[in-house]
Amino acid sequence: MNNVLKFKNKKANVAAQDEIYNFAYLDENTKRMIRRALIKALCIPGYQVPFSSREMPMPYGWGTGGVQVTSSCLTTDDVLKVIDQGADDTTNAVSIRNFFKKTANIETTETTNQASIIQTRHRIPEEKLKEKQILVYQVPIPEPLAFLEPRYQETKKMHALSEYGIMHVKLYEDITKNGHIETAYAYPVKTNDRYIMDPSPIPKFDNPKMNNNPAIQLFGAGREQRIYAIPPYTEVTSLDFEDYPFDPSKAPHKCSICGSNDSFLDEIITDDDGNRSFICSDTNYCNQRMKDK
Amino acid sequence: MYVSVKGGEKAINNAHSWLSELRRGDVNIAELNIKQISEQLTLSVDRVMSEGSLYDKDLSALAIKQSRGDLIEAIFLMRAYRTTLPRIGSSKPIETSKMLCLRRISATFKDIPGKQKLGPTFDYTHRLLDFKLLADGEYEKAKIEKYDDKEIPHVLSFLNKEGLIQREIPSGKTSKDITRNPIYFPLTRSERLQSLSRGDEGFLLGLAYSTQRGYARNHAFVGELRTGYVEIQFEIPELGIEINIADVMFTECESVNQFKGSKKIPAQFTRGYGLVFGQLERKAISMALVDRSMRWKEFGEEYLGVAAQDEEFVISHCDNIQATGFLEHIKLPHYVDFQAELDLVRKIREEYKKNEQRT
Amino acid sequence: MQNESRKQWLSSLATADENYLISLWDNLNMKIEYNWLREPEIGSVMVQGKVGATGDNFNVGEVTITRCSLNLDKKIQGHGYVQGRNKYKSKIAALCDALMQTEKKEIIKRNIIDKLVKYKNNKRNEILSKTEATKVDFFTLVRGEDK
Repeated sequence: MNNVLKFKNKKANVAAQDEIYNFAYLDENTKRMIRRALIKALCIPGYQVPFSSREMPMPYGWGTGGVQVTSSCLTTDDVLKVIDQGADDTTNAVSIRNFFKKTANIETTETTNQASIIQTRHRIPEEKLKEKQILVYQVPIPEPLAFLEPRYQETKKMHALSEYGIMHVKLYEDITKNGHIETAYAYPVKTNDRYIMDPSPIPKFDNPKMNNNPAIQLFGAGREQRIYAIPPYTEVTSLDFEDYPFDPSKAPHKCSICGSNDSFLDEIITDDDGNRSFICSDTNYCNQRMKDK
Repeated sequence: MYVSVKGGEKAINNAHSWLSELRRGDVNIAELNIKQISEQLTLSVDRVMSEGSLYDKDLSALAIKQSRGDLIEAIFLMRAYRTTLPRIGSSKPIETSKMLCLRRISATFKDIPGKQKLGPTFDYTHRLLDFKLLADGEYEKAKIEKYDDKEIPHVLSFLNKEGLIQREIPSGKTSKDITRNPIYFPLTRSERLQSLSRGDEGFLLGLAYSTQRGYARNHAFVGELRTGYVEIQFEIPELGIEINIADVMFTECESVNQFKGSKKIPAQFTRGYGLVFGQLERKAISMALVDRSMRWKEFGEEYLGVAAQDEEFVISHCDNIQATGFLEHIKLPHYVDFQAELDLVRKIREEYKKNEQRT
Repeated sequence: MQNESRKQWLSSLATADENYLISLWDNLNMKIEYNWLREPEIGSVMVQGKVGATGDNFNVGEVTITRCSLNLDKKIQGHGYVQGRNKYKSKIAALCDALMQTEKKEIIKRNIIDKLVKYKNNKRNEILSKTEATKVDFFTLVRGEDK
């Protein structure tokens, strides 16, 4: 390239300089760093791998961890689905999907079985996942022991020594006080019979879906700078006691749209008198059922 | 019967349009330009550069304009932009003793080599609203006087000579960038200072204040406070020549703190250090006090269990972008978690009722 | 010696007021042929401070930098490392750096580098004289003959 400059009082034009971002926003070195953390996480299921989380153009706590994991895994052939609360059309899901449409120009879908990567907040799709699918969870607090001991310096030791007494005592105290384990979401699990892990704030109804799942499950906590993972076909058990077995209960209702009996339901208030109705939280599942009818 | 509709996308787009209109405000009023912000709201611009960890006045002014003057939102914009910049390298450590000072004061000595110079400070203004500013164009011109262009030495270097104050000697360790490496507690003091320098002014102010009120009191004086320009030296990789690549304004605060001595160390003064981009005195002083209070272990002081001494607590919570993101995320949909809780509470209440009836 | 003066002019170009540098260059109206070695790119340099002003290094924050490299012919290269995000400023800096190694050196020195140095000195003087005016004078050393 041979340029001849002809300068004619060209003014400093700072504003008009075009800024172009890399495929899926993050630069390749950052993606590589994240993929290394992911591989380590897959090798030690349930272990929280610290990673150097980047500042993303969306707020911490709004899925920056999930977005960084998705960004690092995406290739041009991928088909992406993004859900929040099980739904494709909730505001933050729309926003994250648009982010990847814009920065990676990839195909997106709402159909669970057509997606190669599914980024999720607070739910696991009702439809069974398959091999070669990746489920990326957005995680607010990766440390399952954080609410019992907030210091990483302490919880790190507990994990290293499998010293999980405080967690069992907490669950036991729940039962003696209330007859129940008082955790309805983010119900702690044990992965591959080793690490106690936070499943992210999914309802405990979803916990059994993690067990022996053919898909790869990746967890990204951006603000807390942690990544962890469950490889395909890994044993994941929800913590319980022999005489108080884990109960993945849900509200005893049917979906008012598709009539499903076995999906997790959102409750909506339908009038000023506070009458309630229940609909599937997984919008794609609900729509598919209606189509099939 | 309910049918689901796609509500999210349109609502988001329309919210953005309205936001854009409100940012512009009344179109009969002239639009703010970036230079007006960078020239006239300088201290906002400084704060956004400091906590945004990126020294660039035009960008900072743009961020303030775009965020409608919400400085934390502006800091967020700076941080997000900063992440996308390729890192060309690291500067040589700056020499603040060679600062071109606009201001330089010491609270510990009345007269000092290089003298006390007040500079452009609010300190002795009476905080009375100046209604003259309602009209345009009124300002006083700065006075000038003949000067002696000599380097202004750090005040604390005079205490160094007597051995009265703990010295800051390089250990030779390279510092890790906490924005490019995961944080492992406990941190080095270098890592703590990086984190504090980009930390939230209000949070650090509150913590520093708490130490003054007795929560791990450490009797701080402002040994020296200086604001001015420092030359940033950087080695051009292709040439191996070190050049003055940028001129950057800093505020530096060195606190002098009482120290009774411990089993390890005889009585002497100790230091806290604050260094921030721009003219941000409140922040620099706060940083120095919090830095000092986190050094209790180093000096063999007692751990009093207060917030300002607790490194993991301070560093994990001083970043306003992390804090505001997580705090505000609770306005995102939590239908599912809440539903799960509703089910649980209803179940527990039912059982409670059954038990009541039984007894 | 060559390095010392190159260091000076590269520093002047790097920290120049961008509008001033652009107007100085544009006024010269020079047509220069060159090849890009590296087209202008915007990046950052991490600024390091010292703990307690004299101790270990620590990272304070970054400053925006634009850089580019070009050559006039196979022998002469120019590097444009400048503060800020102005690609044109960076290009001018690289061209000036290259031309300072040619017979056009005097033109560039007289019309650009010297003026940048003067501009910066004026700024410096202005700050120092304003700062001096806010000096708090408690004591003045009285010389013998004034007693």
